[in-house]
Amino acid sequence: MREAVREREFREFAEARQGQLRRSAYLLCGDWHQAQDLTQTTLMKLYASWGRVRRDGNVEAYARTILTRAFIDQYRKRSWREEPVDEVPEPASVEPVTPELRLVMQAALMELPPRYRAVLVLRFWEDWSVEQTAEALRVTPGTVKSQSARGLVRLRGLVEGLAGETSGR
Amino acid sequence: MSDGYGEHGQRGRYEEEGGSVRGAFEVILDGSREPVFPSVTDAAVVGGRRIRRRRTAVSGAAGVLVAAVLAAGVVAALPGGAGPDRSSVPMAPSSGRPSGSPSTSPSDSASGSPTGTAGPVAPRPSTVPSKQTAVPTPSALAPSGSVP
Repeated sequence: MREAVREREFREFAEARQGQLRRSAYLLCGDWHQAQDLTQTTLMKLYASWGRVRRDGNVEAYARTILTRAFIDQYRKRSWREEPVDEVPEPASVEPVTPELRLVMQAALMELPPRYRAVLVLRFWEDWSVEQTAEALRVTPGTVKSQSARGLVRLRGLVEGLAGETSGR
Repeated sequence: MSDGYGEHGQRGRYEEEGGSVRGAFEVILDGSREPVFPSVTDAAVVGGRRIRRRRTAVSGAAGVLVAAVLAAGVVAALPGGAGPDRSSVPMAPSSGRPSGSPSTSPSDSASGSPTGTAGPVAPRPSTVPSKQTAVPTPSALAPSGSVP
């Protein structure tokens, strides 16, 4: 009985929020299929701790924290598994084929290191405070401030550079 | 030293940049065509149950292990436990001396003769004949028959 209630509550939350979670995941990873996987991983972990999370309250923030940590862990594992190759493949996403603003923005965002990207998404997309972001990423508030400032500077530089490239064609 | 105006100016610029980043995020999301994905709720429920089962199994196994270690520790700490056998420590063998007669010297204990500590020392039997044995006794003089 208690398990059924628990599952029903979780299903309601998951159905209502998985779209938003997927969009946040897409901003982090830049790929819809990977975003879907991240969303599923997030909801799976959320359900495993659903009782405690419900008691503590603020399920939304917990879900986004799981999502961001899962993204960073996944990226870290993937970078460990990377093997050196003889020829570096051409990065298709860095050079946009069409001079669209969206492609320039997305390419610039994907150029940022994953941690910077996570800080920018949490701070400016989710509207989280420095303290909330620091807790989610398990870093100090000072680190969040510095990474946020550096991320903004780099993003601006990348957008200007990419925009110059596309307009120069 | 920064004045208030500078801090406010910096913060305002930061917020402005934050706003433009948010606008960039919206541009990225609105311009990107999101594929139609099936719901992940069922898969999340199944996966979440699996995680919980594994977590329960691991914590149960850890609990059993801790209980076993604690029980072993308690049994070992008991005086009459099954640990190192303290009650069966072998006693030193007895020296053959009657109890209650302490010896005064190592030589006494070696000879095995009971001696006291306070009383006079008894003369030991010697193999050298003493002068008294050389004095003729009447029985010894009897064959000669000369009595002074």
